[in-house]
Amino acid sequence: MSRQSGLAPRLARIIVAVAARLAPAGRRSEWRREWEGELWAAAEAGRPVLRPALGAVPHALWLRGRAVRSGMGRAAPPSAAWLGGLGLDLKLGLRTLVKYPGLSFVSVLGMAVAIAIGSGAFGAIYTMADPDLPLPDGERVVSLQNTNTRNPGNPHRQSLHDFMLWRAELESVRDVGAFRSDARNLIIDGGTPVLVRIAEMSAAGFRVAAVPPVLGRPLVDDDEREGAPPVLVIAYEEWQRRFEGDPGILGAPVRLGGTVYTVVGVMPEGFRFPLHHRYWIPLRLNPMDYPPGDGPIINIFGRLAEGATMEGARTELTTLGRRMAAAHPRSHGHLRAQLLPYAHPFFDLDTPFMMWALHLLQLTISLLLLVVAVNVAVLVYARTATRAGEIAVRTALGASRRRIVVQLFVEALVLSLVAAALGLTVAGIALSRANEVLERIIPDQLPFWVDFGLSAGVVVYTVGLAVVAGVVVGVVPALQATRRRIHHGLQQLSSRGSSMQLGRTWTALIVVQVAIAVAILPSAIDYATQSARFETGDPGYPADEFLRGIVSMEREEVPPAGERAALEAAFPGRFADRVAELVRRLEADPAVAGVTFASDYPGGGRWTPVEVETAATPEGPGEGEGGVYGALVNRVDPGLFEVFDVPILAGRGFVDADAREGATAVIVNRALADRIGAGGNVLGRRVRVIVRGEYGSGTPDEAGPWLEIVGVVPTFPAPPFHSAPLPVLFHAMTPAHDQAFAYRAASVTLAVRVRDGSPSAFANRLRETTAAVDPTLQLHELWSVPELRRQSQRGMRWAALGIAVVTLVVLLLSAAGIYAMMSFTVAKRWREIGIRAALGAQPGRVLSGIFARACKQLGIGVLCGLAAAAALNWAMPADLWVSDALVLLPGVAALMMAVGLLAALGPARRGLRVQPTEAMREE
Amino acid sequence: MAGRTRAMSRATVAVLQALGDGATYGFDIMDATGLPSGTVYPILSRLESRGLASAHWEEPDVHRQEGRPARKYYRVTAEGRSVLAAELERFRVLGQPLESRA
Repeated sequence: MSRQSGLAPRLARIIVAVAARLAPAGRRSEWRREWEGELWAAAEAGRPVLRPALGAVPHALWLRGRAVRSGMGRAAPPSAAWLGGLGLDLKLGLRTLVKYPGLSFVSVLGMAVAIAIGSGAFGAIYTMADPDLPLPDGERVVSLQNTNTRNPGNPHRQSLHDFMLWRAELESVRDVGAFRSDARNLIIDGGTPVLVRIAEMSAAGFRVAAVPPVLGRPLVDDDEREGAPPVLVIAYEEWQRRFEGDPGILGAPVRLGGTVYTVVGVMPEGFRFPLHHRYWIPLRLNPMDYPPGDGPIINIFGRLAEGATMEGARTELTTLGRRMAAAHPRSHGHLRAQLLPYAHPFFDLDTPFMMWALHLLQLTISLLLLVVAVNVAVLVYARTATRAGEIAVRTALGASRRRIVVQLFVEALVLSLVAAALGLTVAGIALSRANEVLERIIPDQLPFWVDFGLSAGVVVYTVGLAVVAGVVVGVVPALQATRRRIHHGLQQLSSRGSSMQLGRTWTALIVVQVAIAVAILPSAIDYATQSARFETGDPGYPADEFLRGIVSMEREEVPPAGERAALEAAFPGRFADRVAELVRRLEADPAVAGVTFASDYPGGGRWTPVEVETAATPEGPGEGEGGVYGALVNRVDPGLFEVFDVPILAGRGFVDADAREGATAVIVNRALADRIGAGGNVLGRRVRVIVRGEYGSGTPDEAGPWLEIVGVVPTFPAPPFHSAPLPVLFHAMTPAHDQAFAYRAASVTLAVRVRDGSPSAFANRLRETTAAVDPTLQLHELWSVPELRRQSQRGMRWAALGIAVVTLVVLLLSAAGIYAMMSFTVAKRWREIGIRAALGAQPGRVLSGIFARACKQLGIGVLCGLAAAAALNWAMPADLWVSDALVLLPGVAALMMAVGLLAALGPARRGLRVQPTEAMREE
Repeated sequence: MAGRTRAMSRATVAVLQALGDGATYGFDIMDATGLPSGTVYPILSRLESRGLASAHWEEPDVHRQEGRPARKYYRVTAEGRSVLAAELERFRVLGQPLESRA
């Protein structure tokens, strides 16, 4: 089944879908079925499908021809004459494409890049946010939730009581169900424990999905009953992968964390409802355990009943919501019940604002094409000016202005369609790569409806883009070109000069084009080179020997009210004990060179941003006059610096006593020490951490106790490419004594340094050791650090390549603009050059006079661009970006001038070759 | 409806011969003859319309069970076999025999 989702099968299906339009209507359906059946089978067999699919076109045409011959297609459409004209225009368009290879190359390349970006974004955005759910009648599956009027965009999901009410009373939505996601260790005898994602889901979920199991049964309502035996439904892929397709899987016991379940069913291949799940257990929640508005976070779904509409269901849900608000004003007064297309809440698309923002984003990305198209229009206009004679002849022979505009539009359409085909191919490759990359980075976590790739929607959108680009590139210059009184006479037919003007607008556009190129070039070159150089960055510690993962423990997310206090009190201690035991066992492992942990892996991105306030004097707590600095906080095991081979630059490292409750010792990295001490000694300085309240939430700022800097370490890991070094404050902790293990933050990042060998080879042993300590102890996001670094490097290289391509396109368009301007100038003043040469002037001198204006415009463009580049660089916060872009400015200015002069070389040579006799003859 | 007898192209005879040798669907015939899809499918349609080949759709139970679209299968008719024999003989007489695939 997976073979069908590649780029080639998709393109093949699109070709067949398009070719189907050519087949005679009476045979179309059967014809298409035959081709789809063949292509499917070929793709399944791993055979090439793209080339064979092309055969669908001649086949459909053959059938069409036969139908016409036999009289079935006798009634020619009334537009046949128009089509005949279109055919001629297309032919002319193709001829023009070949006749002006330079302009065609630049235009197609520029538009193809813009179309690839636009179509890729369209494919990515809409597969996530507005998909066709791959379920029977998927568009009738809906999500239900409460929005929070006090905090829009942040829905209230502790809706157990609402769920019960909606399930019991809604008539326009049937099979209302709920789920919540969890992770558990799957422990199979003799195998390595694996952390799997499970859905605790109402049995109604299987009715909503309307997909039957391939083995056994789905969950049923009775499974949700308290005291019912624990049962499990698994995905086909897991059955094959983890249980080797065991035919006796039904009834088999399977341990998930602390509980043993009995397998009762296997769902078919590809089934992942409600999100990306492969294991399903019954959702057992009792609303009596929680007050209204409290309880676990759940997602609620359902299916529109037969004959019901979204609008009708919304009205009914609103009524129920009001009833709930009236009954429980404290918990529900600010909540509004909401019904949405199923996928929307998972991408936060639950407010009109977010939907608008999404459409706006798409529009902005699409506008990129408009910018490129306007650039190309400048070039096409300049070319059209050189074709004034041809247009005049056609006009004299009776062609209407409309006919000429259509011809020029079709020529432009040929350009944009070629660009669209190229752009679509690139977008298709990029999208299918995105699938692979996401599957590697976040395996099994993409929602089941997300399938990046070319869909019919993307193709239609791309064709739409191409038509818009065709209008801008073809129609606008054509209207301008035919507006003038070109058709008033043919006297200019033999003239190489043109009555058309490269007016102020067009000239300004070329100047702006040059300015934009100069403005973005320094940053683009800087970013691309730094990205490409990223792999050579020194992590500052032996990163290639490390394995990292987040350790947490299975728990009741929100225990029933009666048991909550006791469970909350016991959990941190139990978790800390387990982590300590895990560390002890790993330290005893001969393959392990060191084990340490922290609230975040150094450089890992989960840091807590805070502000650090220094006391006025080193002697005692001051009033805060010392200064406030932005920093990140990381709580680390006292032995972390030793395991990471990080030297202590000044003062001392942590000792175990520093991790005790009430200890005040902190260590800062070089970046923070430089800020606090301005290059001087910071040892003994007193600091405290201020955590700012969430903006707009009314949460007050919190200042911690005064602490003392006892040591300074280097800034490690070295900052990645263009980032400034991050200032970090280190606290010490042990699993047994730290508030990081408070109730809702029961996780810690483990770093294991492996002796002699690849860290990834130790991953399975780490999983086994963890599960052996406690089957409910979980290892999330387990990565070998070198692999993680390789992935970042790959990402950076792709980014560098993307930037390089866009930069090249901008540069090419600018060069083409300058070329067009110079070419136009020479063509327009061709006769003048000849006459002045005949009167004794040096052609070179004449030309330099003519080009002076163009050079001035080029100079203005370069100067404006330089100013914009400097402004951009100045506006970029120094904290975020260390850029050498300004250094590049003179080089970029020189490059643009060189490109401009090179582009002017051709027209200049043509100007120098003007023969005075020819010019005089035309007078 | 039998088509009138007229000289066939080598490609048409090759397709008919592939059907006679047991190939049953388009891609199978492409493999057997080495002809591209844009040639094979029009020929299949022509042979079907001339009654030299017959076509039938796969049973719904089979393809539904396997979760894929139905395929269309072709086979050579009795008339097709006699035309094939005549055409093979014609090519042989012309000194351009088609390779025997039997």
